[in-house]
Order: sequence, then C-alpha cells, then structure tokens
Amino acid sequence: MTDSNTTISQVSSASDRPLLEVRGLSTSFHTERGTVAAVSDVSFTLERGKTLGVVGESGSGKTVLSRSIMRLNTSGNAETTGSAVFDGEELITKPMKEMKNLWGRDIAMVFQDPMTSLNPVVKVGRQITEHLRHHLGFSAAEAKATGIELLRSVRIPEPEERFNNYPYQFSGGMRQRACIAIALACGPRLLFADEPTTALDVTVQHQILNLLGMHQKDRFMTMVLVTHDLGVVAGRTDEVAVMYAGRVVEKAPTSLLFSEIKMPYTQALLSSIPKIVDTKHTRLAAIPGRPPDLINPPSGCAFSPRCAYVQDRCREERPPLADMGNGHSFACWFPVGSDESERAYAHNLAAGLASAVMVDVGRKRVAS
Amino acid sequence: MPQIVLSRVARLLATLFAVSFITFFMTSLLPGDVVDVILPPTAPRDPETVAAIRAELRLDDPMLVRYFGWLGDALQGDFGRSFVSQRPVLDEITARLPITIQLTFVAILFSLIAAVPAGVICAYRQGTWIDKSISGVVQVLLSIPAFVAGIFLIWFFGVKTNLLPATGWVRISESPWGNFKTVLLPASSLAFVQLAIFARLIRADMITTLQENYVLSARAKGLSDRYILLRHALRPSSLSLITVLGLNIGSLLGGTVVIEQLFALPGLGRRLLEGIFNRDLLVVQGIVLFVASAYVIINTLVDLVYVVVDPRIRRKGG
Repeated sequence: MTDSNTTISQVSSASDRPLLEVRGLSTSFHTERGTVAAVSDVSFTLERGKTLGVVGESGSGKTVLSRSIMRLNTSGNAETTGSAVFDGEELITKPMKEMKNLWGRDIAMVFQDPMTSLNPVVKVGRQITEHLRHHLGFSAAEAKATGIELLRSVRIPEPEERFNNYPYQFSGGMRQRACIAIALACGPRLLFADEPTTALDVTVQHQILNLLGMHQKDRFMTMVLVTHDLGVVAGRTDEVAVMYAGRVVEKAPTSLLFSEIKMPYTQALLSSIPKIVDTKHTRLAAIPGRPPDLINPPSGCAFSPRCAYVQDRCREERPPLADMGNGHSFACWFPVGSDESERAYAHNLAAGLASAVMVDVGRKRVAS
Repeated sequence: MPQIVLSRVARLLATLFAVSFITFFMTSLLPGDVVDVILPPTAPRDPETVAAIRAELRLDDPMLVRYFGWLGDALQGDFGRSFVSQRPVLDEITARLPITIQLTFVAILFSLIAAVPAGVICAYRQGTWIDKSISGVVQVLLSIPAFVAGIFLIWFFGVKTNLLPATGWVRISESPWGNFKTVLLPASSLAFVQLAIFARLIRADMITTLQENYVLSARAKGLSDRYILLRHALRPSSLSLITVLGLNIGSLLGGTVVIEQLFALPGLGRRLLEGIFNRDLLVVQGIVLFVASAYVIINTLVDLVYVVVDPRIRRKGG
C-alpha cells in the first residue's frame, strides 16, 4: 500500500505544481490620451481541474486579464509585464511562434459574443476541425468524425447535417455551443471562458454554463470563467477573484466569499442582482457613479468615489490586497462587517453621501 | 437560390430593353444625313436613288416604328449591315470581339495577380514600411492614365530594347506565343490602374476584416497567420473588390478604345471609333448595345457571385 502510494505521488509530483501561476501581471495600453492601466499587479494560482471565477463590471480589466495571460492582445499598443507560468512554462516572455503552438491546443478560449466570433463565410465544420488538422495532424476524414462527435458532445442535434452548415444557420445558443466545441476540440488543459453567456438568452445561459461545467469535470480541465455576474460564479467555481479598475480587490474560495464578503465593491455587486423575493417595481440597487478612468485613476482606493464606507484614508492611501490566512484576501481599509466600517457608514449617511444613501435604501428594503 | 437567379434575370431583361432603346434614341440624334455616308462623294445624287436608300433604311418612319423594327430584327440576330463595308453588323462585332475580350481579361488577370497579394500584405503589415512603400507605389500607379503607361511601354519595350512588338496583333490561332507577345504590352498598360484600384480595395477591406472577432478566434486556435489571412480573412474582404471588378470588366470591354488605337489593335473599341467617324450608325448602335449588354450581364453575374462568396446573402435574398 505504501509502495503504490509512493509511486502515485512520484508520478504526480510534476503535476502537483499548479497549472497556472500568475504573479504581478500588469497590462497597459498606450493611447493618444495617455497610458491606460487596464490590468495592474494581478496575482493568482490555479490548481489543476479547478475553476477560477473572475468577476467585475465592464472595464474592470477581466477580459484584458485573460487575453494578457494568453498573449492575445494583438492591438500592438499593449504592454504586458509580470509573470504567468503555465505548467512550468513562462508565457509572458515566450516567443509568439511558440505561443501559437499552445493556442487552441493546450490553452483555448471561448469568446463573449458567439454571433461575431464565428466566421460567417466558413462552414461550422471546418471551423471546428481546422486546428485539429493543424495541431494534431488529423486527416480530413478523422477530423470530420471528431468534429461531428464534438458537435454531439455540446448537444447540437443532427450533428452530421449541422457540420456542413454556415454559422448563420445556427441560433445564438447553438453558435456558442459550436464555439465551445471549437475550444474543446484539441483537448486543452486550460480554458478561458470570457463572458460565455453574456450575449445569450437567460434560459440558454444556464444550459451553456452546465455544458461547460460538465466538460470541465469530464476532461479534468482547468478553467477561468470570466463574468460580470456574481450569480454565475456562485455554484460553478472553486475560487472567485473580484476585479475593479484593473486590480483584484477581493479573492476567496467561492463559498467563503459569499458567506463573508469583505470588500464593499463585492457587496455592492451582489446587491445589484435583482432578487426573486423582491416586490414588483422594486428599485434596482445600482452602484452609483461609473467605473474610474484608467488613464487618471483616482488616488487611494479606486472604488472610493462610489463607496458607501469611504473615509479620508481611502481617498489618500490605496489599501493593499491582504490575506486573512484562510485564502480570503481583500483590499479595503474598512471591510464590510467590521465595527469601523459601520461607524464609517453611519458617518457617511449622516453627511448625506449618495453612495451611503443608496445602500440605506437597499437595507431598509431587505428589513421590511 | 433559384428565386434569386430568376429575379436577377428578370431585372436583367428589363435593363437590356431600356439600354437598347436609349442606344437607338441617342444614335438617331446624331447630326448628318446617313445618305451622304452611304453614297460615295463622287456619286450623282439623283432624288430617286436617295429616296430608294431612305426607303430601304426606313429613315422616314417615326422613330418608335424604326426602333421596334430594328429591335425585332435584332432579336432574330439581324443588326443590319454596315453602311460602309456592307458586312452584317453582327459579323463586324464577332470578328473584333475576341481581341477586346482577350485584352480585357488578360489585363484583369495581371492586375489581380499583383493586387491580391499586395493588398493582403499591406493590410497584414499595416503602418509598417512594407505597407507604406507598396501603398506609395499603388498611389503612383493610380494616377498614371493607361495611355501614358502604354506610350512608355511602347517606348521601352518596343523602341529602346526592341523586346516586344510595339503595335499590331497576332491571332492566338496563328501563333499562341506571338499572340502573347502582342497582348502583353496593351494588357499591362490597362492593368496598372486596375491593379492600383484593386489593391487599395483589398487593403481597406482586409484591415476591417482583421479586426473582426472571428479573426481573433481563429488566432486563438493557433492557426498560422498565412492560413488566417487566406482562408478566413480574404473571402469576407473581397466583396467590394468583386463589385468593382464587375464594373471595370464592363467598362474595359467598351473602354479599351484608346489602348486599341494606341497599339493598333483591331478590336471592338477601334471599330466603334471608325463607325463614329464614318457615321456608320448601325455599327455604332450594334456595338454600343453589345457593350452595354455585356456590362449589365457581367454585373448580374457579379450579384450571383456574391451569393457564392457570402452564404448569408442566400438567406436575405430568398
């Protein structure tokens, strides 16, 4: 028994290391208006077979983050620094030629908008199989058989006929299924799903997410699920990183995060989801203000202009991402639930600060 | 698909009818008396002969009557006879047509062979020195009229180095090699401007296409740049090219007049010019109708090519 255990641990020692380790990753875009710090100093570790949810509103840098790790920021004015180690290989400094061997084969991406991410003039079948032929040297017949199997595995009915369709003959949900089939084709070890359901109907969203989850389990695939919807990550991820203004502001194992939200932004994001128990015409708890300008970010905490708990310290000094020791880290001087934060909130409410008043409305609603 | 073809053919017939009428109407507006053309200047001009000619050509009938008479004959393949050569107009056209067609298609072929790679490379390397230098050359070519290019080519290849015949035409049936040598210079003169137009179109469309999400998804699959450019981006980038290609083939078929004159090629354009000088109305009418029909037919074909290139149109049209 000990023997066999040793063998297993020896074999798995190489695969004990995390599949993806991101350290101090920053990406900025040089534009005419100035430098946009789209992603700043992001670090996380992703173990094999696990799913990380990256959550944030539009412009929080979540899409840029996944594209930076994949080195898919092709616009030419993007600059990425820091480190992203994929299975022992540093990606950020890797020559593009070698990245191309990883793309589609070891690391794949499902894009946000299935309506535009399939080529309208190329048959779906070829789009699902061309990288099989390119990376794995499949013959046309092998590729076709695999392609049809892939379509079947993403639950597209009559895959033999659908293989020869053009994308316009597919519905939105079917297109996203096809995109998932494309991403899964070569059996990648790491999958980025960049808002895979944002462009879809609510009923279809659920099916697509279940499909992704099923394949992730079956294939022991590691996944980064990018979304703006905390509800999406709730049951489907092992860990969640909340991003704001290009930085991770709170990160925790999923269950821990939802039971102990520390960062006011995460709390605001969660309470902005309408609840089924709400009475009709309940005012939506929107987050006041808008995401900060990333060319001239506010000093101190980037969320301070919109925060209900904001104090002078928040406006002057940016809180570091501090780990509580249980895997829960957050960047806030007045974390939700602490006495300081309640005092800060009461002070802001008395002063009539818009963001605090909004939260007050929400609280009264819950209480009544 | 069959509905699309039917609707396009119906539209085509309507256009051809309109074209034939306008052609007839415009040539009949030309000043001068046809009788003067038909009778040699030295011939005696007695009223009987003149009346006989006018009667034969139905010159005294109202225009609409003449038009439908001419149209009826034309539909049966009888476009009348040349006043000057006395040969049937149809024979005049078919004798000259192969030269003009060959000239047009060789010119288009040359320009496409150069323009497609140039446009694709410029778009792929947008903003780099490669793009800037190719685009610069294209800009220069665009501003050189075909006859200027023709004169230069004649001077360089025909006079200075004496590599190619400066003028004249060898039929392909006589000598394919000789034919190639005579078509090379005139076709190249026509090709330069076309090349420039096509290269600019492809470059512009390709730059737009390369920003599409589906190009990013293709990249994320790890496909080679070459494959993405040729198999994913080229087809969606060729719609404006195909439109302009249709228009330009049409206008080249009727518009090689200057080049045919310059290189002394016995093509359709040159025959048209002779017809105009001689007031050989039926020849002019026949050629103009023919060229206009070719123009309309080619553009109808282009509409059908769209359907092949972009499958989405199949649904929109049907």
